[in-house]
Amino acid sequence: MTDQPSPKPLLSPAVVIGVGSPHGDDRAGWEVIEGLRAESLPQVELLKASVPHDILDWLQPVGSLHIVDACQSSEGVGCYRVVADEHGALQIFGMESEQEMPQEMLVEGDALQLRSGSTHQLDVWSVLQLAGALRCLPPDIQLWTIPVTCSTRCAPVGASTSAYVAQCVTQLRRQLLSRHPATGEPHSA
Amino acid sequence: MSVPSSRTITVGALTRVEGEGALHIDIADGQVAAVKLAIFEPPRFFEALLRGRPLEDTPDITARICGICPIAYQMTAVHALEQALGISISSEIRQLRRLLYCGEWIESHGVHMHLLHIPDFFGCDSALQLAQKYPPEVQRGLRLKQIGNRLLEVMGGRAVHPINVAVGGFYRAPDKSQLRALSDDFRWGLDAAIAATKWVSRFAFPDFTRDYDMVSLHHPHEYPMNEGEIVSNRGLRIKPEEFETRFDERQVPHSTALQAVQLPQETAYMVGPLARINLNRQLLSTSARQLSDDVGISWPCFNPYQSIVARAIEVVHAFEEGLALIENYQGCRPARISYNYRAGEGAWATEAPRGLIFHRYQIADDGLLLSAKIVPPTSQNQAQIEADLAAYLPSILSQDERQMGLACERLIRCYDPCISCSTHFLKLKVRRR
Repeated sequence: MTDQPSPKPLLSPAVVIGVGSPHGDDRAGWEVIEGLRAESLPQVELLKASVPHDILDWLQPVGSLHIVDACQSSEGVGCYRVVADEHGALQIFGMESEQEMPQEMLVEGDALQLRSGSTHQLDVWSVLQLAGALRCLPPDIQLWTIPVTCSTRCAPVGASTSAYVAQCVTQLRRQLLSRHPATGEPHSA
Repeated sequence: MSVPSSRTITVGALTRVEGEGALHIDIADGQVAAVKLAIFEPPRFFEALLRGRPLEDTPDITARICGICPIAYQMTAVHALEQALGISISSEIRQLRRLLYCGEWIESHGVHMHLLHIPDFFGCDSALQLAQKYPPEVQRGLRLKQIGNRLLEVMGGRAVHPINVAVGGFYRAPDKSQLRALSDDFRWGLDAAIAATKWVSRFAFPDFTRDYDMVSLHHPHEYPMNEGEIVSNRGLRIKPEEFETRFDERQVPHSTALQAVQLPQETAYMVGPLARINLNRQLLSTSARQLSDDVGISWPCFNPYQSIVARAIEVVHAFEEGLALIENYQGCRPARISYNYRAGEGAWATEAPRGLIFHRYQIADDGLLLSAKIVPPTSQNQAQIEADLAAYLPSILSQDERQMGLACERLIRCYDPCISCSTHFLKLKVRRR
């Protein structure tokens, strides 16, 4: 096995990756990134991915990872915490107001119906599972989902999705700013 | 096991290929009666979208056709438009464009090999299962892909739909320091790609060969990427602008994707890494050429399952040539050649990771596009894929439908089809009669 190159310095305390495509509501992940860029958040790296497996390029070294993707859902903006066990297997928990939900809110990753699911069968959830198996996931991972309805080729985002994008930007911004700006650690109570 | 003499097999969404597709097979009296690869993506309208747009919009719009290989569309587009405008690019721009293509080959081949195709050779249903069996090898592959993407980001302005490619050159040439910063990664990548090639060359390959008509670009002095004549192993040698005299896209009833055939015989043909190496092996970089001698393949190779070795060798070439280009880069001024609008037509072909890609554009004297024609590599391989399946199926007719479906998918994946961009254009359904 060839040696790996020297470890890179910390990419950022927090990284937000928006997964999307240029087509209609599938732009949702990218639109969230654009919204966050307008906020000039310190200590946060904002990235766009056109295919989910590009997430694998940016996993380390990262303190806190947020992934934003479109999903087929009748609910509003979703926020989920992804947790890896000692074997690299993943569990996903629904979150509300940054507070972890009880065990009964455990959801199956496949049930999220992420829009990126049709690409190579390497949807966001599969990519995270792959990263978990390779033990290269950051310690703190949150998955944000934007409900979408239509992905017309080369079209802009629809009105309802735009509203969800704005909501996600607000929630994400609040969470990112609640972290200590220098170290990325949560504020102590 | 008793097997019905007539049946129809349908593979649902084909797994581990880009886009969505399905496969219908009709078997009558124990013989394969029909094989239909059906593409369900909505018809691609980029050719229509380009009409009436400023020609400068072409790289950005064509890059949206495919999230995996935007550079291939951009390179072919700008070369075709430059031909229409009578632009001659500088050697520096030419070299930068080859470097950019190296990045895309590394990224695209790396993804296909390690996340999509290699699992087949170990009975794995997914890249996840492969990673659980061979974590260092998968990590190595992901690192290769990451380096390719990093080069695209440095040169293209961003990794997602690169914005730096322009008619006439680039909007901004990279600094020497930006490229030199990639040198260590490229040296590591070259060694890693050689190791990966040696690994895949030892896989157990099904014994399946066919007398393919193979088509690729050929350049007298370099392994083909952005320039060359279109050649075949049957003696074809034409200029890219003559593409439509020898190849034609046809609509088939069972698919929204067009299928290309050779003229006048209307037969299938193969494009891609296997065709490229078969027709240009002597022009590979030093390490890649040596590897091609050492991997135990008798060239020319006509086993589609060994296309993975061809891809691996091309990753070695891309790293070796890329490293040389990076280390020799002295800047590029001007980054872009100026031009005046004139009415005209231009046609060009380049080598996308998946094979030959052809564009033709007509422009008005005000710089607006009058027409566009885009022929991606996957549409050119469609007919050949169906023909391969028709030839392969008799050997597996005794299997149950699930096993047949998996075997068909594995053969299709040898072509690394990018279905969503083949439409400008695996529910395996088996009908037994």
